[in-house]
Amino acid sequence: MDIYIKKQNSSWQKILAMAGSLAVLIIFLNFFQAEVRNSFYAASSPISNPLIYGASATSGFFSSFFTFADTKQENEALISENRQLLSQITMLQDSARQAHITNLATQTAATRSLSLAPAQIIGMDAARNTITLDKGLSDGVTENMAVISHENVAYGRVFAAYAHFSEVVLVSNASSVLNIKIQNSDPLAAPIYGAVKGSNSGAYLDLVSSDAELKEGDLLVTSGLEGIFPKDLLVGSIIAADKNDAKAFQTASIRLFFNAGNIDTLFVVTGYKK
Amino acid sequence: MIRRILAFAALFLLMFLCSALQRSFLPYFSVMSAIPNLVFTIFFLLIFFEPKYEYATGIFAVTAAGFLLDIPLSPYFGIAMGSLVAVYAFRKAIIFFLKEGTGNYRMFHFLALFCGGFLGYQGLLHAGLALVGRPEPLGLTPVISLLYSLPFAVAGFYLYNLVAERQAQNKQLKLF
Repeated sequence: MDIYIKKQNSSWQKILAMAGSLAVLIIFLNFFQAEVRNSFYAASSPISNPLIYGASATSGFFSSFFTFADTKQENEALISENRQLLSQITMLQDSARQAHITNLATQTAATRSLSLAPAQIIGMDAARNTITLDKGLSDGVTENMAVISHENVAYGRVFAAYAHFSEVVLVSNASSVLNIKIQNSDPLAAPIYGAVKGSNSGAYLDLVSSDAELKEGDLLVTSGLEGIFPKDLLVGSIIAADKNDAKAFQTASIRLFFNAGNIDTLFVVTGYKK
Repeated sequence: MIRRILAFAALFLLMFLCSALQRSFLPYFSVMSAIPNLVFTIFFLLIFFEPKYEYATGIFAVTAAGFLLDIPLSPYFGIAMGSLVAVYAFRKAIIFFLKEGTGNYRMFHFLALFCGGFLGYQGLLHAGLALVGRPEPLGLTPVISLLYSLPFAVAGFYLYNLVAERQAQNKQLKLF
């Protein structure tokens, strides 16, 4: 009887000791979490880089079989869009010549406030819509810096920066809210503002005033109002507007331009001044 | 003792490689943003085959897998580790209070526990993230991730059985 009780007590003691050790470990990891995460990414980046390279090459090969049927349709749509754009370019060329001298001065001032740090993607969490970059605090990257591509497409913002790595929350992340303005074909019309909100599987447009006219294909660009993203970065285009007279704002389904699966080099906007 | 330490080191290396695969390779083959959770699969295989009165393998599995699964989850460590502790405790409770499945039907026993453990882990993870102010929308992603992980779990189950049988045969030969 005594032996049985002793055995039971020692089992409980073992369980309590293990629980205590685990708690101490968790506290230690949280206390040094920046150093721990930085060391982990440093150790795993030599493995991650070739894996990402192999994955992007392999996935491209397989995806071509699935997208073959859509390629012809997409090609025809692109040819038609190209013709429309060419005619618009012709109309705009005259006004562009007149505005060129004025724009040059303002562009130079805007360019001075942007400095870009190139960064490679070394990890991706598809479920949470976050990516890991190989630039961190030592490279001048801090939290709440915008991340863009070479084509000026907005990808997301830095939400955690470690010594040599940083984690980026993409525009499609459920917690992401991006202030945008809608670029329509009439340059004299007042800009329409809204917000692109992530939904993990994509994003949607919200907070657009109910009397604004939204059309399929309208371009969404950053407004620069929240002070994180420089203005006029490409975000996406409208697929279909959802206007409901009972609601104060209208929403729209959108197509985002960014594609984290087809790019490995991004740029962190390190010197942006609003 | 040394053999056990070497085995744990090898298992941690395997989990580390699987973690790198999950972050760098598998996202390019995601299905509706879901990828197989290889680290959880290895963790569950370890705790499933752990003998009734042993705890060392389970504690190691919880610590190693919890650490690797906590890394991409900001802002705090411990959320994934705590969820895995709950799954491990559930598994141990099953062993103690219910008759363990053996023989031909052990695979079904394993599959049922794996599915329950996986979804329980995902639920606890979402609850933990909501508690620290990082709520995530609950969609079909955990279910698709489970279905995507099942082939790896089944392959791991048979591989583990094969290795265990060979080790048992080797031990028997040594008697003679």
